[in-house]
Amino acid sequence: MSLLYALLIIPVIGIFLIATIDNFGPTTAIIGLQKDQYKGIHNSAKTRLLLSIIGKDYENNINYYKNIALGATLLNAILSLIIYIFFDFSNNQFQFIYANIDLSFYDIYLGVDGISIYFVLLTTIIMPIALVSN
Amino acid sequence: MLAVFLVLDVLLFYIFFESILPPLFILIGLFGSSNKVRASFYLFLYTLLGSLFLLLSILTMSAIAGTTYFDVLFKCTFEYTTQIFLFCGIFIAFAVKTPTIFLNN
Repeated sequence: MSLLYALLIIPVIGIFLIATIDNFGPTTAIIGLQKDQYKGIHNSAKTRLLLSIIGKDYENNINYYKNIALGATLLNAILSLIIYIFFDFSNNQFQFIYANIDLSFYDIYLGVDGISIYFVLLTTIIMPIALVSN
Repeated sequence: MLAVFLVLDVLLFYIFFESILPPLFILIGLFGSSNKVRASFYLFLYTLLGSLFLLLSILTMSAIAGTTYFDVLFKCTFEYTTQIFLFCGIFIAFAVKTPTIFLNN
């Protein structure tokens, strides 16, 4: 049962989607601008043109980021609800244990018990709410 | 953040527990109100000092029990005085994170 593993991987996939697709996004441009400012040419027409291009791109990128983030967190919330439904409350042991035995250098064991299931639910439900309210 | 509640290893728990510190530092440093750089540095150092005691407690537990796996640690019995010291160390680490009176900055 690797439901918990999926719970950790889904946000990482979201970050991957955001980080890889836009190479010429706002962050790169802003870093470039700061370098220019350091040289003292931030008032040139070239930089102003660059800034106007970024301005349009920036809005699209922000919406794209928000959609990806909302999708990933909603998927996580649904997954944690599934875990909650299938959780056996008559048991006081760890459940949904995922033992990654392929990694030889360190043992990454995942599992939830009766207390941590509620914290997982809290975290995964609060993240889409925070994104929607923004 | 989610991994804190999912891992079954105290040392990994510590690593993920501490991994929210750099984002916190950056967020306060960028979006804070007045005196934000100073505040973020203070918060970083203060929280790091608090979690040092958590690390010491975890190292003590792993030295006594010989493992950092939760399931084994649950079944271990520590001496009473050791338990008191371990509780103090872990309590300090969590008290600086939560708004406990006299410990919050």
